[in-house]
Amino acid sequence: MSDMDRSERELRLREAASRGCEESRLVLSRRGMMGLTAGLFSWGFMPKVAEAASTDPRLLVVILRGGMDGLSAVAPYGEGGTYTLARGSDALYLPPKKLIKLADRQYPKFFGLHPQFRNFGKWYDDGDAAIVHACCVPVRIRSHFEGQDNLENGYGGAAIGSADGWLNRLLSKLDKGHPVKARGAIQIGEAPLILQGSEPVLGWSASTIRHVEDPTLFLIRQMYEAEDSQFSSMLEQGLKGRAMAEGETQDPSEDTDLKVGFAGAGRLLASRRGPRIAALSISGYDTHTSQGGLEGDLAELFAELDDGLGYFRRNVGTAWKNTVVMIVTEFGRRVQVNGNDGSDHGTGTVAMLCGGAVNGRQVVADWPGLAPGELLDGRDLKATIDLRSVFKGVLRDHFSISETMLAEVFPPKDFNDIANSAPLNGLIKG
Amino acid sequence: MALSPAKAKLATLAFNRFGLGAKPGGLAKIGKNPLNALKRELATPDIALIPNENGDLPGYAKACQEGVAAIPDMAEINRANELKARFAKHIAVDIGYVERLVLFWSNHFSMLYSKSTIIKSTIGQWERDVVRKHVLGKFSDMLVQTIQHPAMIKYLDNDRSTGPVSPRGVSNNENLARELLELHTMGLGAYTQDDVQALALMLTGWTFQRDAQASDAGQFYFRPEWHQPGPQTFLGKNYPAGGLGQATAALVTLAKRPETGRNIARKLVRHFIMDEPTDGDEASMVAFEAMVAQLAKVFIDTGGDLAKMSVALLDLPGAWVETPGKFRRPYEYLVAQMRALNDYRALDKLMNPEGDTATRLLKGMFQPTWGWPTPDGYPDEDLHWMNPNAMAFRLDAAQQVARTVTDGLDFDPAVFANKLYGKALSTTTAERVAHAGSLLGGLTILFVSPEFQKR
Repeated sequence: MSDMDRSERELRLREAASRGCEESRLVLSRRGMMGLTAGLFSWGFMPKVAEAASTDPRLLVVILRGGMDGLSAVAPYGEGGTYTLARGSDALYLPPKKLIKLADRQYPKFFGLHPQFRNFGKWYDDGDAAIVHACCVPVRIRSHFEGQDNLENGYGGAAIGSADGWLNRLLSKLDKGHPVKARGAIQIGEAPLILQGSEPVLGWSASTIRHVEDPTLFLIRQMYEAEDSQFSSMLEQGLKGRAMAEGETQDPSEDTDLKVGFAGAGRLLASRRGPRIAALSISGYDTHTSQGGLEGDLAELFAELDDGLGYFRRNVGTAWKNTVVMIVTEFGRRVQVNGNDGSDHGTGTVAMLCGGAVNGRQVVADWPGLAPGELLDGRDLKATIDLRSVFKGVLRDHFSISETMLAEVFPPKDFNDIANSAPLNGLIKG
Repeated sequence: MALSPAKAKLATLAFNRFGLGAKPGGLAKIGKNPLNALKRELATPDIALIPNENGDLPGYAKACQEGVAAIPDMAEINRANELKARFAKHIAVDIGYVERLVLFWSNHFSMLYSKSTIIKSTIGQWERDVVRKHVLGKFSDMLVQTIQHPAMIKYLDNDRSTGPVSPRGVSNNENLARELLELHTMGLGAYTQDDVQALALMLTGWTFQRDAQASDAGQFYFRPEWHQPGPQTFLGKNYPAGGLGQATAALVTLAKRPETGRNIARKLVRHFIMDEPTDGDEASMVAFEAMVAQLAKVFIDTGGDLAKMSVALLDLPGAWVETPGKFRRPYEYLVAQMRALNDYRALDKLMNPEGDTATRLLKGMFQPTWGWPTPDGYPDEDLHWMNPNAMAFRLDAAQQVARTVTDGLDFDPAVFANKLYGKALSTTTAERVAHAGSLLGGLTILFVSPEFQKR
């Protein structure tokens, strides 16, 4: 069975599986172990690259799986009564006075951040965080499988047979001298599609399970060395990758996989010889029930995410100034509350950017409005920005990627598609 | 009397390559003639079945009803109970060859439990009542009963597949038909798109009862008004109109096709004995293909008799090659540890309600039960499982198992290792287990040793 057959089948299945969404905590698992192995083996042979801070950019992609409600993350309270009416008076509604107000030239006194985003809100004020609102991937059929595939494969439409992700395509096309090419990428946890493809990628799993330590570890390494060279070399590579991700000493406050993951991502990207791109995903955003407003499942998820970002910020250290974190999701939610204090699959949502390289303190949007007549199919926030425009804007200005190469990384569906997914300007400082 | 190194190695091979790992003292039980011991296990009446002594495992009607009930909590309870019963059975048996066959077939018809409540509620019942019942029976029975189970109907989206010219109209869904041909039976290349479409049309109307109040709530259900009327030509044969019987007849034919036999033989050899050799390794390639052909012949000659296949597998030329050919997959690896620590109530401790260590570790090793997202099942190839990340994680996982089970206990890990492996343990490993200086260290070393991770 060729890879093409495998992925075609996978897509068919995903398409089919998407029709019934009865699992509120949908997690996708994917594999790319071959790339991972190769990646770790090549670790030792990474070339040294000139290290001028400003020319050594970092990127962390955080994929929120399940469809994050952008109207809860960043509420358009400036809509006034329309906002109140659209969000109901209780379940999903966030009172404007509780929101973290987002200053913006184009939309002054209009958008407010969910109060759980304490770190992110502070970075926004400091000019290190920005919001892109009312955006979505190009495939807009409210299907987790299609949406997640599309977010990660970077195609202009449903792409039957896509076996690689856009981050991996990017790596494969970079010149040898590009610092990102030399240092590569790492997947945290299971290999997401976004990093799958021909280019070797490193791997590390965040876990709070205690590590085996010396003297036991020493005896095991000795045993492998004596008995099994394959085991031995793999273990050594694995330990090396882990050491880079976790640092010398474990911080006891890193007590969840999520915190370990974010802290590890920070350490990896900070490391002089570590990877320059990392991707991790968090599930649980499919809030069909008990989504809540100021409190509730989603508020808790936001708090965890914001906390995780704080861990990342601390561990990435001075490399923060060269870093962009993109927090993205496959779609938004229906505007109106459903029968279970939750929300159903929708369309338009937010992309959140933070990091010292981000041109912050702005909400980039072509706001479509929340009045009933302005909604997509009378139910969803319209998406007026293609998520690929965000990706392309960041890659072009942060990684100095030419528009020609961007068209190869994000193959357009047709001529119109090129215009519809043009890179956003001004997302990066400088 | 202790077994000689050669005998101990052979018995260990039987435990690891074909079973789920040794329990303390197990070597002596099968050491005299491991092959016969495996064959005896196959011949034990009802060896594959799980006795439902506590009555907490649901029958077909109950599992189905709870899969469509308004409050879906029972589905999760069913899944958890089934999982625990499955582990208990893995541990109870002496060698576990039949258990490995059950796992093989369950993965052959892989379903993702989290896709739907009906699957979550019934997947364990399906495995117990269909896979276990037929694991040493006829492949055609396992196939037909699997496809006529609400879990598979739902998993591959046949539940709303209707014939385009049936009274209900709309259109059919090809998903089940395609996977049936490609994965469950013949394999790619042996059929055309027309065959897929014909089979899909014959399967229209195969659905399950969604009405939670109905007497057959959640159960497989044939809806004549959704079925595409008329005859179909499938694989060159005419299937006259005949409602439910039409596709059933096609499935029975499909189950006995030589291509099906070859596809299954290939998977069995790959699962139990060796991965398909890569290009260039001519000698291994010839040996591999010869084993596939030998096993396929048994399937074809017996019309898919799985008991005969299971015996024939043990008699293949590569079955007793001393060098381990495979890396244990995470699930087997964890079960082997549970069996090794059986004397210390391993299962209860690893799956206690406060902290389900077993499930957590399986997730960490990327093989949660019934958790593979696509219908091709968890891969068999070492390439998929063996990598630096996994190798490092397994150390921590093994230590976690040892800690959870032996916390507060004290015994000599070297004596324990000897009870498990006897003289099959290499001197290098045995010395390090003995020098670990602690029970936890010694058990961890034993569980991560090449002897324990390979088969």
